[in-house]
Amino acid sequence: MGNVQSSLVSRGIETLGDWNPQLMREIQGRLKVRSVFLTVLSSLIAQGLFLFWRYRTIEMRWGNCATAEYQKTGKACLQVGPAQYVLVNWPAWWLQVFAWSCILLMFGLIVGGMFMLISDLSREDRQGTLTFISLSPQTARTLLLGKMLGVPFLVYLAVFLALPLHYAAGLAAQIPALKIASFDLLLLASCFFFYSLALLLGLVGNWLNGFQSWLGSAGILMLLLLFKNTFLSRTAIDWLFAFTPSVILPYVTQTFEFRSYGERLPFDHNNILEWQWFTIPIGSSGWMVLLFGLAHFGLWAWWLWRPLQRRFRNPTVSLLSKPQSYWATACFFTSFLGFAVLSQPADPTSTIAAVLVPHLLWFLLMIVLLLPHHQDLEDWARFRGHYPSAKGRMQRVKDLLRADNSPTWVAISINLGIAGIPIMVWILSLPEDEHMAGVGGLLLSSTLIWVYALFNQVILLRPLSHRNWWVIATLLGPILLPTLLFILMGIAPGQWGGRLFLLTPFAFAILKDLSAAVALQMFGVHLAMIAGLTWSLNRQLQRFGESTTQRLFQRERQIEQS
Amino acid sequence: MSSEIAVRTQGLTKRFGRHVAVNDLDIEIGSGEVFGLIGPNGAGKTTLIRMLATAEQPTLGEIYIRGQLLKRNQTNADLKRLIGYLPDDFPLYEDLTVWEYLNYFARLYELRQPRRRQRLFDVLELVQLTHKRRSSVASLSRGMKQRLGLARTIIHEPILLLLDEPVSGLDPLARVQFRELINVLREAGMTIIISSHILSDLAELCTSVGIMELGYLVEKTTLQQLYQTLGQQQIQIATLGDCQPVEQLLGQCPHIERWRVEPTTQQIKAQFRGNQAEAAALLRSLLAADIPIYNFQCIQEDLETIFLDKLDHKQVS
Repeated sequence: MGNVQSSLVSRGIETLGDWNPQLMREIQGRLKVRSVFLTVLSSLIAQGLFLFWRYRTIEMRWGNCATAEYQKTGKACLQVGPAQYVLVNWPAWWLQVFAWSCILLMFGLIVGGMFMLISDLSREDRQGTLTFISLSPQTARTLLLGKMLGVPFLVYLAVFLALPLHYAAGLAAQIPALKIASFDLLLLASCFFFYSLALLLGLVGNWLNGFQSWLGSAGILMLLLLFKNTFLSRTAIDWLFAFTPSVILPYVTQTFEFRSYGERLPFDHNNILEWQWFTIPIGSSGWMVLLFGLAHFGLWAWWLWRPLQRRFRNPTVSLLSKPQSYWATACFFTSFLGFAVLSQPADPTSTIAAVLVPHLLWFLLMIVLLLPHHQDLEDWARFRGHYPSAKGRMQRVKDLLRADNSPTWVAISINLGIAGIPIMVWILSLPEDEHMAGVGGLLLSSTLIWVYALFNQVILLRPLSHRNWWVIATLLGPILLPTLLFILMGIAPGQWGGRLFLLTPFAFAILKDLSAAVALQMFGVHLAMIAGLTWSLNRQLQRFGESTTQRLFQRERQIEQS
Repeated sequence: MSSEIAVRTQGLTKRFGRHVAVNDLDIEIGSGEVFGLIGPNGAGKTTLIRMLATAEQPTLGEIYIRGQLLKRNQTNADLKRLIGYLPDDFPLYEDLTVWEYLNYFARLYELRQPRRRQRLFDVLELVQLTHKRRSSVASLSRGMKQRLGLARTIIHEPILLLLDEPVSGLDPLARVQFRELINVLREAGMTIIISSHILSDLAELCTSVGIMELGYLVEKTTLQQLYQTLGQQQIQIATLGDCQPVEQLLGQCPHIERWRVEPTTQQIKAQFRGNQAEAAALLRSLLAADIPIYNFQCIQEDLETIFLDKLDHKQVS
C-alpha cells in the first residue's frame, strides 16, 4: 500500500514537472523543512492570535450565568471563570470572525503574494538567470504561470492552513458553504489579476533597485484599504470597485439584513446594491457581482499578459504593440464608461471630472506602454524612417500605425480618437448645459495629451542616462508643474489669468466660466505646441536617420564653411 | 540551402546607439566544425554569439540555423532546442543541488523520463561531477561551476554549441579539463562556435577561425590554411656553450631567414623555410662542428604569433 502511494506521489511529481518545469523548480526551491516548519507555525500562531483578538471583543462580566442579567435576546451566556461570564450572540460573533478572516486572507494572499513575486522576478532579472530560462523552448506563458503558482507557495500553504477556520467561522455564522466559496472564487480571480500585475512590475521595475517589491505591494495595499467601508460615488470611478474581492462580502455575509447588529462589519460597502453598469443593476444580487467580478478580473488579467509575454521574450520591446493599444483603449473605455451610464444620473460636473481625469491617466499609461526603446527608435529612423518612393512613404505610414519601433504620436492620436467617440456620445447624453464644458474639456484634454506624448518622445530621443526617471519627469512635470505654479501665484479659476488653467488637464473645471473665444484661443495654443513639437521630433528623427557617410560629409561641409 | 551548413547569417548587423557592434556580417559555418572567434575586446564577438543564441535581437539581417530562419519576437521553440549557449559569466541557482539544477533545465528542454535520467547521468559523468550530484550548487568551485554550466548547455543534446570565453578565469588544470571536454563534444559531432582570448586553447580546439575587428569579420579560414599562408616554421636550438658558432652556421644555411637569441635562456629561434631533410642536414652540420647542442626542435609558428605579428590590426583592444 505504501509503495503504491509513493509511486503515485512520484508519478504526480513527474507529471507536474513535465507540465510546468518552472513550477516544479519554484516548489523545489521553497520546499525546505525549515521554511515549511516556520510557515506552518506562523499560520497557526497568527490564527491563534486572531481568535484571541476577536475573543477580546466579547464583553466580560462578573458573576455567573445563573444570576446573569440578559440584556438582549438571542444572546448566550458562557461561564469563562468561577466569577466571570460573557453574554454573546454567537452567530453574530462568528460573522465578525468570518468577515475578518476574509479580509485577512485577502490582504495576506494579494499583498504577500505580490511582494514575493515582484522581488523574485526582479532578483532573477538582476542576476541574469531569467535570460537562461527565456532561451529555453518553453513559452513565456508556461514559465510565468510556473512563477505565479510556485513563488508564493509558502503563502498558499499558510492560507491553506487557515481555510478550516475560515469555513468553520462562516458555517457557524450560518452562511451557506456555496456563498463562502463564491468569495473564495472571486479572491482567486483577483489573485490571478494582481499576481499578473506583480509579474509585470517585476519584469519592468528593475531600475528601482529592489524597491519595486515594496512599492508595488504597498500600492496595492493602499488600493485595497481605499475600499474600507467606502460607498459608491455613482460616477465612472465606481469601476474601481470591480478591483476588490471585498465587493462581494456584503452579499456573502448578508450584511444588508444584519444592519441591526451593533458593530459594523469590515469592508461594508453600504450602497453597493445600487451598483450599475450600462444601467444593468449588477449590484442587485451577489451572483451578478460574482459573475461581473470574474469577467472583469479575467479581462484585465488577459490584458496584463500581453505586455508580460512581449517583455519576457524581448526586454527592449515596447510593452504593448500599437494594434493592441487600440483594442485596449476600446476595452477600457467601454468597461469604464459603463459605470457612468446610470438610470438616474448623478451630479453632472463631478461625473465629467470622474471621466476626464481617468481619461488623462489612461493616456499617461498608454504613452509608457507604447514607448519604444531608444535604440529601436534610432534604428527605425536609420533604416526605415525615410523612404523616398511612394511605396516607401506608404510603408512609413503603415509603420507609424502598426510597427513597435516607430514613434508613438500617430498611435496616441488614434487612441485619442477611439476614446473620444464614446466619451463624446456619453457627454451628449448629459443635460444640455453640461455639453460645452464636457466637449470642450474633452477636446482640450485630448490635444494636451497629444502635446505630452510628443514632448515625452522629443525628450527621450536624446541620449539620456536614467531614462526611466526621465519618463516619469516628462509625463508628470508638464501636468503638475503648471498647476502648482498657478496655485502658488494665486491664480485661480474665475480670476484674472484663470484662463491659463486651460494649459493644464483641468480645463473642464473652468470652461463654464470662460467664453468660447478664449477657449478657442487656448485650443490654438495647444495646436501650435503640437506643430512645434512635431517639427522638432521629425528633425531629430531625420538626424538619427542619417548614415555615417552623410554625417561625415555634413561635418566636412561645416568645416569648409567655417 | 545545404543541410551541411549549421549556421548562416545574412547581412547581420547590431547597433548600440550609433556604435555598430556587428556590421553586415555574412558567415557560413559547416556542421561539425569547431569555429573559433578571435578579436580584440569590443570587436563584436560576444554580440554575434548572443544574437546566434537568440539572447539579442539583430538590428538588421537574418540568421539561419540548419536552414531554418530565426524569427524575431517569437519563441522559436524548435530552433532553441538545437542551440546550447554558455556565456562568459553565467549565473546559477545556488539554492538547488547539482542534480535538481540539471533536472530543471532538462525539463525546460522537454526531456522526458526515462531518457532524462539517463541523460543526466551521462552528462554528469562527462563533466566529472557525478560524485557532486547531491551537493548544493553554491558549494562548487569555480571550475566545477563552469563544468556544470557546460553540462547545462549540452543537457538537451544541441547541434550547435555557443561558448563565449568559456575558460576565462579558470586555473590551468581546470582549463585543461574543460578543453578535453570540448574535444569530446567535437568528436560527438557538435558544431561549436567558441570565442576566447586564449589563442593557444583555440589552436588546439578549432578546425577553423574567424577574426573580428570593429564589428567586421575580416578573416575566415581553416586553421590549416591559416598556418600555410601566414604561419612559418621555426627551429629552436639550445646549446650548452656559446651561441656565436651556432649563429655562424645558421648564417651559412640557405633555408634560414633570420634568427634571434633569447637573452635569458640563451636559446636561438630561427625562421626556417626548408623541409624535414634540410632540417636534419642542419642538425648534422651543428653536431659535426662539435657544438654541444641539447635541444633541436622544429616548431610551427603559433596562432597567437600569427594573430599578433602577421595580421594588420585596425582596432586596439
